[in-house]
Amino acid sequence: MKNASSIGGVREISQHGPKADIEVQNVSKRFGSDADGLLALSNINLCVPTGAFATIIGQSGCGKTTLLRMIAGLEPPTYGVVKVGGQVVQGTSWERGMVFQEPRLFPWFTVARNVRLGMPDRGHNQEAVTGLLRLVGLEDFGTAFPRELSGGMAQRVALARALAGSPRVLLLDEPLGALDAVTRMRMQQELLKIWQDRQLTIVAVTHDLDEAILLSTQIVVLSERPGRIKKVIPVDLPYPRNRLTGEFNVFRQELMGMLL
Amino acid sequence: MWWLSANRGFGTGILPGPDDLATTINRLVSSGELTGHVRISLWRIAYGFGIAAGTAVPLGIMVASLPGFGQLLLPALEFLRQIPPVAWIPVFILTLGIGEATKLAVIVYAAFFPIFMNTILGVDQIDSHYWEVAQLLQFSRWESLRELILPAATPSLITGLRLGMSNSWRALVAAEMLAAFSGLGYMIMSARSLVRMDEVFVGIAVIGLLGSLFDWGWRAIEKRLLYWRGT
Repeated sequence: MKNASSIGGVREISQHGPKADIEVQNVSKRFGSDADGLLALSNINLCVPTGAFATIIGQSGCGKTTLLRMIAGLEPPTYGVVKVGGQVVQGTSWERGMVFQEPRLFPWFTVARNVRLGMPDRGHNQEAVTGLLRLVGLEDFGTAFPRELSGGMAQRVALARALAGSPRVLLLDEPLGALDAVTRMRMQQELLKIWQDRQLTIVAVTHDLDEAILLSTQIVVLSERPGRIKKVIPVDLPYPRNRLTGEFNVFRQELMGMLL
Repeated sequence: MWWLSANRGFGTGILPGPDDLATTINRLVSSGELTGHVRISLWRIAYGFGIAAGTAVPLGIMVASLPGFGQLLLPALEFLRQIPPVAWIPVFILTLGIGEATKLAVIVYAAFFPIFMNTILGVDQIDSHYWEVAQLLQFSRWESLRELILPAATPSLITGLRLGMSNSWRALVAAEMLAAFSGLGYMIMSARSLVRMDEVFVGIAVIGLLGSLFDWGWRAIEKRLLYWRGT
């Protein structure tokens, strides 16, 4: 298993590889027209370095998801710019994969076909599809239809589909939110492994404080609407992290103090 | 009961009983008259329905994917939709003559609107969640059509095709009664003028039977295409 210094190692390697720094500069987002519109995010400045695992937490309705969607390119900021790897984000791209709160699989296609559609060449390489299904532990479910899957399985297919595009940045919008506690813990471990193996830069929205401390290298705390950055907390604990340690509790208390 | 009312009741001598119908069917089939009319009506419906489906589905998808365009077209469509196809027959006869073109025009007209409307509805109702996935997966227009629009709109498309077919089937019979020298509608009309009520009823029964058959066919296709929904 990895420790803190090998996470540093991930960053070091990544500096030689393609840059995937995420820079959010003076970003505000207003829904609706002019002053009557709803201000969802106000003047966000944030930097997530290549290879980092950032989580965004904050009360519901504070614009966490909106921030993530702007990084994905699904929504333009009203003011400011979002850059990934130095390039201004304009629309979606293969370099950024996303998993939503819901699996959003196409119900009319099999699991394998759903994953194939996640590949730029639509999965001419059958082995790559099988490999991705194996990665998420579903190699026997390629011919199943989404309705035949449990929530956790469907979310794993969604993860495989997002990874199929070989993204450098993976955006996760509470993908584990709907799962039971055990499945959730298992998927947290899988996620960490995938992050480390594939040297991804991850930004995840969560409302679970423990999950944020368990997974991330930095925690971004947003204020209530309109969302502003309250604080960015670096988490320098070694992986794998243990929820039962005193250090873990220090972070937990700091976060609870900020959110309550 | 049917037999009793036909032979002893108020309709004696006018309404045929089941035994009369059986002999009539036998006679009409063996002379080839019935099968000939059925064949012509079926050919017309296949032709006209094919044209209607072939234009209404692509047009519906186009209109649904251009939001401004749909809004522009909607009042006109609503107006046209309210007019029963048969009302156009005098216009069609004047412009197209009393040949096949008139019957085809009626069928196309009758089938077009249910298919067109349901196509637009089906595409409109696609969850925006899926469109976001299509964006993330960099779908081309063609891929959006094949992987998302068509499968997602299939339930609605089939409803439209089913309604369109039953609509045009009914309209066809009416058109054949008014402007034709062949087909099931014509068969009923000519039997009426000869006061052959038995033949009229055979015509009516066959029309109902074939209509139900189409409906059953569409339901079978629907079940086949929507296997991914489960039961």
